[in-house]
Amino acid sequence: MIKIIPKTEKKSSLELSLSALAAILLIASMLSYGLLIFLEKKIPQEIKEIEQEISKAKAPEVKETEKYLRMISQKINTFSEIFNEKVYPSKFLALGKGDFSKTRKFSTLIHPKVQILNFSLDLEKNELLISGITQNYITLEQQKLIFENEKPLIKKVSLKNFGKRKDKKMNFTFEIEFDPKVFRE
Amino acid sequence: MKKTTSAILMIILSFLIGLFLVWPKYQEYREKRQQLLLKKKELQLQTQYREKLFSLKEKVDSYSDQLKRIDIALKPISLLSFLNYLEGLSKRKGLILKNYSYSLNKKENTIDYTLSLSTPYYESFLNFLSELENSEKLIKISHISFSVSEEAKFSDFNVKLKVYYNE
Repeated sequence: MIKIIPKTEKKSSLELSLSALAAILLIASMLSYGLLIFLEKKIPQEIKEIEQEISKAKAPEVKETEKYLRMISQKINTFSEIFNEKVYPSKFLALGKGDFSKTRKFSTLIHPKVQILNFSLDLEKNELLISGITQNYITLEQQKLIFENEKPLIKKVSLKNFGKRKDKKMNFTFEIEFDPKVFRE
Repeated sequence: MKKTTSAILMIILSFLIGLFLVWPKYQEYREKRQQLLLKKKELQLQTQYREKLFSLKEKVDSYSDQLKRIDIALKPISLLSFLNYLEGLSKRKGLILKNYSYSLNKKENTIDYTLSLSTPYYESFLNFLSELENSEKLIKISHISFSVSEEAKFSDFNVKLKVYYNE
């Protein structure tokens, strides 16, 4: 008898624990289900509110600002593109002394014994066509060398034609191609 | 024995609730939560974009003086107004505008002018060019030609210009 009584006690406590565990599990699963239903129901409302805020963020004023900024950007691009291409030939044509590489004045490249009679400057091709007179072959050669020594600002020099006049002076035509920066700085 | 059976049944019921109700609901919840997070991210990006856009506009507006100058430079100018400007400028600089022609260059958005000017003074011509270069309008001088006599007298100065305008 002594042995049987404790055995029964053990069994009922195990049963009790099992029942408690089962009850906890059942309640927990039902509560979880309820909680999930509650949380899930809240989400569509939150999404709706966020969508409203998103549509506010896409308001017409945003589109107008985008349009305005696009227009300004296009204007600035057009302007800077043209402005960077702008040339300043008055500097090139100004009379003066000194180094051409520093002053960018064409007059500094002219031999003292050379006279320019025709001047034609194409600022789109950066080409200059000049014709004039000088005293002899030597001064003409010296003039050619002056131009040729101005590389890289002068990219190409060609003596197109030359000849002796009745008064024994030489006439000539030069075609000169300049680096575009000569006219832009 | 009865208690044990009912406990086991409750555990099985809990398991079934978990498997057939809680788990699918959790999947649904997780999916919706994912949607919510995506929407929240979208809103955050939209808000950031909006803030950036308006701060950029504010920045652009702070350069209003420079923008006005760009507007003036690109604003279309009527043919007659520009010719009037050229005539006035040449007079001021001591040149005579002897002849002119113009054509519309739609490819480059320019009106191209060819001017024939006369002055005995080379400096006057340079001043004229300098003022064109620094004009409020976007003017590009594309060609210059002139002749000088052997007695160092200047004859006509020919200038080709491109006046830009924004359509």
